[in-house]
Amino acid sequence: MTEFKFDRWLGLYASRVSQMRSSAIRDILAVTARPDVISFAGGLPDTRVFPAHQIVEATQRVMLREGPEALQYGASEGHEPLRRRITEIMAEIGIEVSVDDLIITDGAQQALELLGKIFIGKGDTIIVEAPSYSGALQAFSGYEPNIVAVPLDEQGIRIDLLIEKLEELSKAGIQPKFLYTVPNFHNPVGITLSEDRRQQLIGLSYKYGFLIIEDDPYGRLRFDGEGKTALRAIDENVIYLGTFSKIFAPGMRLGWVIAPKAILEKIILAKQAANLCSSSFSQRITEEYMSIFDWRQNIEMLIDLYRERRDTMLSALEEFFPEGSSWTRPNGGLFIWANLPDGLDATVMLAEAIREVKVAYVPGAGFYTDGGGISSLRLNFSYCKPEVINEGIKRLGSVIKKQLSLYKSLVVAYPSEDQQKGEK
Amino acid sequence: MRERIAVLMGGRSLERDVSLKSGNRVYEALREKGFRVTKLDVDESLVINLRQNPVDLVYIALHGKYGEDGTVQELLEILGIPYTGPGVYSSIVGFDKALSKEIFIRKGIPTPDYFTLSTGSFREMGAAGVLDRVVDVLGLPIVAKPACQGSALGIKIVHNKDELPSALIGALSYDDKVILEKYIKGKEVSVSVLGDEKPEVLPVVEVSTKKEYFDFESMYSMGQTEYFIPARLPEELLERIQDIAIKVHTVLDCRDVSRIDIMVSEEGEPYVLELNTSPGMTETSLLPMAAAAKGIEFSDLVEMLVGFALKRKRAV
Repeated sequence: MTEFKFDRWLGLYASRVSQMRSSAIRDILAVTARPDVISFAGGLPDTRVFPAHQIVEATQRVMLREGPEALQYGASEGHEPLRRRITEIMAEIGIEVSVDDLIITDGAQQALELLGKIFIGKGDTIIVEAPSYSGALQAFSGYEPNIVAVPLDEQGIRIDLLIEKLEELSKAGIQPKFLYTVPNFHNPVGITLSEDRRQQLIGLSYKYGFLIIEDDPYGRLRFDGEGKTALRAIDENVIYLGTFSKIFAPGMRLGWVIAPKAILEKIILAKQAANLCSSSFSQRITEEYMSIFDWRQNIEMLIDLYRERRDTMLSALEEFFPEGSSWTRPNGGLFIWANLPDGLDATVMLAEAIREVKVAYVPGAGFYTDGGGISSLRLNFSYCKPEVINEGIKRLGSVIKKQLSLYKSLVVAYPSEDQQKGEK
Repeated sequence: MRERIAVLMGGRSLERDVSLKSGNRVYEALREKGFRVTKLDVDESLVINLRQNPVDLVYIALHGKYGEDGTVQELLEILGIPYTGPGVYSSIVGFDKALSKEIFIRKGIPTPDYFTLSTGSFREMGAAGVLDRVVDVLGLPIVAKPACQGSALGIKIVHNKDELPSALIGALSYDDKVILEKYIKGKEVSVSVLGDEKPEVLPVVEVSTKKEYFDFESMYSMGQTEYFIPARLPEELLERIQDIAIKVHTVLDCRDVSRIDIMVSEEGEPYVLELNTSPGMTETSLLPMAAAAKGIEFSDLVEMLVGFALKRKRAV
């Protein structure tokens, strides 16, 4: 008798590798790459909005002017003119920083990975929102943290529940390392943290001694309502993550992190080990684009485009989703979060949605670490054209109604013991 | 130059990703063996593609609906293109657990007790009203699974009757027919059979998962599952299991290849769960693993399957 191993090196991997796994959902979503599937699954900008011609021009200028430098290694901190540009962008949202307060990363995703690396030892406690951006959970999980998840409501993270958790931890003598939040147009939920709670959060971070990581990829994509004060604008000890992926192009793979100097030094060391520096080429082209073109106008165009798509999706949800469903009404960003009527499971429904009506979304469970989100789904509205959004939501509504009627017939004829008790 | 072969892969089924993995691996193996190979990601241009670019053989690396259920096999029969793996009948029957279990029973092949219910029976006839009988007859736990779906997608184990509605909706999300089957506690094993006139059985693979059922994630994720070859069972039981596998392969008229999944109860009784007519060929699939245990390299296994189909072509 022999034990057969697919992977003969299985005994050699670090224990953290067991945290990294492929999910059934991701494999099923492979089918959404097919052109005939209406996909609300991605978090993707519409490719037609990328300023391709302007990038051609920016690239030409950069290569003629400073080709050798653009092809050489650069500073780990990033290309200085681009960092200066970012300080200007930050000043527009009330974050006053100098060039030395930030470094360039490969998308904000790299910053998440680097922060995990410098803050999380095996078993250390971190706090996230429930639900939370799955890419952040993935980045942090590799370092084997103890994850404490605090639920959200329409106003953002529930401060009362956060305090409860913090008290519990404090009683157990546990110091949480940081709290990770997406305060503006949250991924996956779409809601925005209220002004009051922002202040409260900062207060709690001092009282309980944890850091705040403010991940703000969507803040610029506000369609309506009033802008909120960035956490970093309230307190300079907040770690702020920004990205060019949503306001320019994700293919450039550029983001930035603002942090207190001592922390930034550690991030730079971690970044040197990870990839020495971000692409000199991407950084220079991005800087050139930002300096010669009216990029704000491009964002205005995006905002108009996405606002229309959000509105289309909201009215389609109103028209086609059955009673008992609910959804968020984001003022910006890329996502709406919907809840199915009681009893329905969004993960299993995905199979029927793809199989029967060729519509895809991301089931909510992937955004939770504790088994929550069963009846929720994330819907992206930025990628599809309005008429496609309407059709997709219509089809999805029909699947929900079908599952709901089946569920009702099952529960009526075959009530659970709780319900039987309830009736007596 | 050796024969021209088109490897069919991908397609629209929920197992698209698995199929792409199988297909790419098969493609590399065939190239290594000197065949002239092309990959075809299956879509509505499949037929015109095959007609405009004639090949000597089609290798079917599709899994799931349309690739494993007789659909693509029938098309290839009409086009007169030889293909690897079982024919139309075996594919239709093998893919539909309700049909194959029915045949197992008629042919005296042990399979767990079960009932089949369809979406229509709930919608049109109030089938929810019979669920208490189902539970009484089968006893708990019950395994709910879609009748036609590979890769263990949509399978749930029902421990108490409150879990039944959501398990049924789960399974019915994958297919319009659901099998409610008595749960057999014990060891899960998988036996692959190669050939037709004189089918040859490969060593029995034991699948040992930390979860209570070998589900999709344990199938395709690292370190979730352990495998033992041969299965940790007494010699005579292993032989009995292999005999049962050959019987299933023969009774369902399979040719070239099939993989039979069997539960062995704690009392040592084997029960056939299902038959796969297009077994996975990924890095973590059971057929290539069993072949390797017998000293058959992956590329030799692929060449062998192609050889069966080419022999058929010459015979015509």
